[in-house]
Amino acid sequence: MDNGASSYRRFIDGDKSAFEEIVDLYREPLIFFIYRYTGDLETAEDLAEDVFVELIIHPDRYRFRSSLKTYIFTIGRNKAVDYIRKHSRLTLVGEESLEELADLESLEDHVVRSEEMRQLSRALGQVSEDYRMALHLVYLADLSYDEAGAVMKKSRKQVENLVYRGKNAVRAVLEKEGFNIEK
Amino acid sequence: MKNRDEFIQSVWEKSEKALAEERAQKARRRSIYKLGAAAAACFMLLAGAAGLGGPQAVYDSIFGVGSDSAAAGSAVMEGESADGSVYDIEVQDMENTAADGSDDMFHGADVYDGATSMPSMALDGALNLGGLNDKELYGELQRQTEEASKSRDDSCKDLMAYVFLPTGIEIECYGDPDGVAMYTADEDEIMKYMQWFGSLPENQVLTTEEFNNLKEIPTGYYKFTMDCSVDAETEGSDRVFWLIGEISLP
Repeated sequence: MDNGASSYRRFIDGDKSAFEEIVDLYREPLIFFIYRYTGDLETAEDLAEDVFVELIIHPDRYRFRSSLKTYIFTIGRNKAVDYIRKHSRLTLVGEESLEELADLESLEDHVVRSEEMRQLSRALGQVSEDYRMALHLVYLADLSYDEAGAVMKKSRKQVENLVYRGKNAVRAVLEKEGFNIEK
Repeated sequence: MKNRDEFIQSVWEKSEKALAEERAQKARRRSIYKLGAAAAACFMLLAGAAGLGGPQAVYDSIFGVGSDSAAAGSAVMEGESADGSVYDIEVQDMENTAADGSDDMFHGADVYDGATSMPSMALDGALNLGGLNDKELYGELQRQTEEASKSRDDSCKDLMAYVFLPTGIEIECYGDPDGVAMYTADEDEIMKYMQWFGSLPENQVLTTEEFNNLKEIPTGYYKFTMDCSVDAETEGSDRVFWLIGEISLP
């Protein structure tokens, strides 16, 4: 499995339909990932669109030497971080609408396959951002430690530490909620 | 949330718009870039003049045998105007330039591989730099200038041409409590790629977070690292640029 790289190559060579294969692979996981940063689904979707726009208008930037998945998530992270940086003064405080909650649940259902992972996903909202990102990338987005490091601009060792500490933090959250977690 | 087809439709619409905007910006940049690359080389020439054997030696090392003017003792180099015409840029004699060498304006150990002090730069209206005798700094800046000259499509490198431009190009600065950014025509592009490490005139080096937390953005000289991180393949290809000028809040 090449994580969509061959589809991207076909797209660059002129097969427009190949691009939709990449969208099918990454649309929902990417939105879900960006949502971790923005906390707003509509914004996450908008930024995810921008990631795919980058793939279309700057095909020369991907050199096919690393995973397309890592590349896409890296762009997603950068866009999310830049968005937060630009809008950090604008603190939108409010409750998600029922429609948004339903969308989020549906998204989560598509991305997170098992109940255990769903529990993890929910607990992630209560740990620090670095832990959240590292755990999301490794456990929910299925990136390797190296790939997660590339996305987060951290070394493999740093990601390992974050995952280790993040797991402890999540464990504490889940135990607080009454789950028995085996170490 | 959009469904799959709506999402794809939206992506294509945004792409068409983005491509149209890029084409328009490139057309504007092309005329500016030519002048920028020449001026960047001019900057390098002046930067090296103080420390590398004088204008002639620097000129020859970059451009080979000099022109008649160079042979007469005052080095020149050629700049190219937007309309393609060539003109001479006279290199200023740096030997008598008073340089503020009392303070290290920048901490470079974390960037310049062991360089522990940076020469300070004084800014005049034109290129009037002095005291640059750090060969490692010069080498690094020269390398990056050469890289900028090679590529016109990479927006990271285009940015470098703007930054080095000492005069003639308006570098707009946008400051707010979240931080400071520089931008020219393509605000989004630059905001996307830049991270800031601010240096206060008192020689403090701030992390991006500390810089962003400043209540006021003081005027002065700044060093920043641009992270060309859209291309994950070149992750870590940070570049360091010197801001020639002042940042003042709008």
